[in-house]
Amino acid sequence: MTDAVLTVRELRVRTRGDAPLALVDGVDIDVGLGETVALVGESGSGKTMAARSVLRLLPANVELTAGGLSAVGTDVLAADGPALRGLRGGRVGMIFQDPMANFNPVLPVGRQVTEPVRIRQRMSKRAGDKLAAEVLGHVGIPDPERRCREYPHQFSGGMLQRAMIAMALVNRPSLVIADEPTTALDATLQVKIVKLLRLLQSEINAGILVITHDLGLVAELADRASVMYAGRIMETGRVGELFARPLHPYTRALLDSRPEGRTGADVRAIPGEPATPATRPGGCAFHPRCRLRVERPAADQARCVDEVPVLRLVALPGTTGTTGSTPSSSLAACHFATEMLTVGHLAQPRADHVPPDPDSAPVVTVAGVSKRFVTKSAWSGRRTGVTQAVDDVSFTLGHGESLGLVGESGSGKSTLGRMMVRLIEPDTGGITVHAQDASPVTGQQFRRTVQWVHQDPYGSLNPKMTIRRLITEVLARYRLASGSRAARVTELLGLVGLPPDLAERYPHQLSGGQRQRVAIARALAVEPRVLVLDEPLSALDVSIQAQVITLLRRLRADLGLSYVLISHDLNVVRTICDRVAVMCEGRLVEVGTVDDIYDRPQHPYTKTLLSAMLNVDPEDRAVPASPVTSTARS
Amino acid sequence: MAGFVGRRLLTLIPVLLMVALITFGILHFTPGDPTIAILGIDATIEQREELRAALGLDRGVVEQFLNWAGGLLRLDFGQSLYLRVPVGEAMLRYLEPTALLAVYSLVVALLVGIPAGVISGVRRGGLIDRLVMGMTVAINAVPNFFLGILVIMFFSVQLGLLPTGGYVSPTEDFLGHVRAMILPSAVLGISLTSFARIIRSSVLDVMSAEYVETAYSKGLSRPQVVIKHVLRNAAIPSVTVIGISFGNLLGGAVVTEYVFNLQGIGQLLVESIARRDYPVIQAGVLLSALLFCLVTLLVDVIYAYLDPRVRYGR
Repeated sequence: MTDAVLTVRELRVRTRGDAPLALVDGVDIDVGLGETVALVGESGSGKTMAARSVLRLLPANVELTAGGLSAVGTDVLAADGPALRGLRGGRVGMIFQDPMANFNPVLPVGRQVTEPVRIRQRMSKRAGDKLAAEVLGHVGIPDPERRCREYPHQFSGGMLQRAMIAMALVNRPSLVIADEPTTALDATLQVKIVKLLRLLQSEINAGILVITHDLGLVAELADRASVMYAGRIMETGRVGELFARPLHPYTRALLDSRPEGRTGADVRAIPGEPATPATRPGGCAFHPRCRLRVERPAADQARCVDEVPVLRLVALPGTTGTTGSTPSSSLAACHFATEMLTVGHLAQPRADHVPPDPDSAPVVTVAGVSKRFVTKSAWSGRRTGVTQAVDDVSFTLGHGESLGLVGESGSGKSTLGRMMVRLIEPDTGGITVHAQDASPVTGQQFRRTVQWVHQDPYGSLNPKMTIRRLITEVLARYRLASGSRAARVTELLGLVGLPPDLAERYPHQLSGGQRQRVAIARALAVEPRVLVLDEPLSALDVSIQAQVITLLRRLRADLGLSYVLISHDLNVVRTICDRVAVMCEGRLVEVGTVDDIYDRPQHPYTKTLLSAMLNVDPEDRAVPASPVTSTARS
Repeated sequence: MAGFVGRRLLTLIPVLLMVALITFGILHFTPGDPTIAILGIDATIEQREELRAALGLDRGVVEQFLNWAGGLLRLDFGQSLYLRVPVGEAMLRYLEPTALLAVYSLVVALLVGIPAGVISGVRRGGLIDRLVMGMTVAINAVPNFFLGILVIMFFSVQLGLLPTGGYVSPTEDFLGHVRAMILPSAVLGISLTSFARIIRSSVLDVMSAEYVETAYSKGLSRPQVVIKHVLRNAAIPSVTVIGISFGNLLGGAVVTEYVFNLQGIGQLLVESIARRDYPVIQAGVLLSALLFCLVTLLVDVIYAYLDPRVRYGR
């Protein structure tokens, strides 16, 4: 590799104090000019810490050491204040995850975008405005002369992320660090941002270090990738080989647990929780969750527990011992990586499949439902804006059926979901929920029939209540299981795969996946017939997502539940749902079975949504590598 | 913005009307007789009835209210029962020390509180932080009048540098005015600096915001980050608190006025209540309400200036 813009050797980040935790534990990263390298991992893997170490943008309570850390020719470890500031925003640009949070709400966007230039050279206000308009226009923001004077809250998330990219690239850096650059965005926007990043990279020939948990983004954007787990790199190699022939059981498990391109039955969850620096086991950090390790001789198992595997080159079959033939470029940190080459080693059993009953009576009938939100002036009571959130929507949900409600943010799918649980009332039309005998459910019985699982398990559980109280509260409200509530709580927790002793804990003591299970258990406490799930996976890690998918599929089979799954993630919908309803600007534009929607979409909007899915196969990128059509500014 | 301010001023009318009605009601249903306060307890019933008739207190409550309210529309606040001067005149005279004291105290509070709060927030856990936080607790724990007496004893009695009290109008003797106002402004201002804590906590909040991290990633130094990105955001929640404190001050800092013998609105109101001087009390309460509303409006205008999300009416 020529022209390295980032060389990291033996990077270690640990917390200060008496019992330091190793957040990053000996990581090497290389990025060359014009190259895109991905750092992939779940939360707690240390990928963000590793990336921020490059600019020494670390919290005060951690300590950074490295065998070598050089970015664009500067020794970052030895750099003093001015040298560091020269790198930050100068030769190294940084793109953050959440554009809404990363722009200062009280300053115009244009001024923030040009700030990296303005703090380095004196510039008249007019020249600054001109530059702002120019760079914003360059990243595809329409009417940049006007928009550069607007404030962040006047921008949409996608537009603001474009502005963030403009801000990171305004000084034409040689290295760009992109921390989850698409995670906060809708699927259709993700593809556009990827496209923009690739185009700009080809213009200024920068190296990109992209940090992500999203294997789809890796496949779409990166040339090489390193998979991190619990602060260490498990496997590193060219993206094509990594996806086609994963050499580490963790990489393989991650790929298997992705909902992308799967129908649900074959999503295979990684058991357990991702290891964090505090819970990292000895030996190979992945060994408690590793499928390759089970059914091995005791000596081998002990080796995984005792000995930390080092990253080493794994020779491919057919190239053993010979030179001249193409060697694998992948390195894997697994004692038994060569066994990963044996196809079928991790062959999966087919999981259950629940055929929906096509003749069943509907449990929910939605007929001609509309809802508009009117914003009124606080002074005159005049209408200042009308949003038609849901516009004449009708469909039915059969018993045992799972309906996916998909669309971009603002399409009205969440409003519709809220109306289905009567958190808000429709303006016109009606939603009828039917009891077992097909009679409509009313009054108190309604909430016992339809339950709601919220998107954010961090916000939906009262932090001051133990899990037991959270669930008992619901039981008490409906006078259920009186006398045997403790047993019922245990039973409900068991239903969602949680141990009974968890009941005494508080939500903050649980992981995101555990919280979402608690939220589901709480919804199940009233023995509902329908669950409305509002983006139940979006706050969770990839491997945990797969666990919840498996759980939802199992619960449906065991309890005969019907689901309404609200999601912008078509891949997730496909793994759970039987039918899909596509919403766009409040209207239902297409309803069909999963196969129809995914294989034979009719409506152009559905086709747009589908084409925006980031594909798992790096050979089949949604954004083809276009020849460099340089429209470079200057 | 002009339309916004205009509409807000219009909403003052019902607010002030309610205040007028409520004060009038409370006062007239409160036991006590202004004629006793004026004539003394030994006056005969005939003397008191005569005075009542002269003051118009013998008429019905509704009539009295309508008379008074009608006068308000002509900016005629009536005649003080006790002072025997028009209420408007008395108000203006007593408002001057109060208003100036409030403004000076606010300036002292801002000059001390903002830097203290910002530095404590930026260098959390540092020496200045611990010092400031300790001081604000100590100051809050000491009552105003006690602090006032302490500084009078030290600076006026012991060192003889400043007058012990009394008010001098700046139009008569500017230097005398300054000398008279230093101690009360300092005492009142210092006692307000507890909002340094609020500034500190909002600075802490903002310092951990993601856009601050973004600012560092653009190559800004810490002073640049604080000045360009932190201060304005941290000011937003503090403005309300400061505004409310200032509004309260305008209503009269009674205790401080007493300690330093400043003939201010607060002192006038307390004495007028004892004297059952209805027109003065009514006008005083109304004035406090008006000033408070105006300060709140000013706070909202500052808010809109600081925060574009408010400005664009989101």
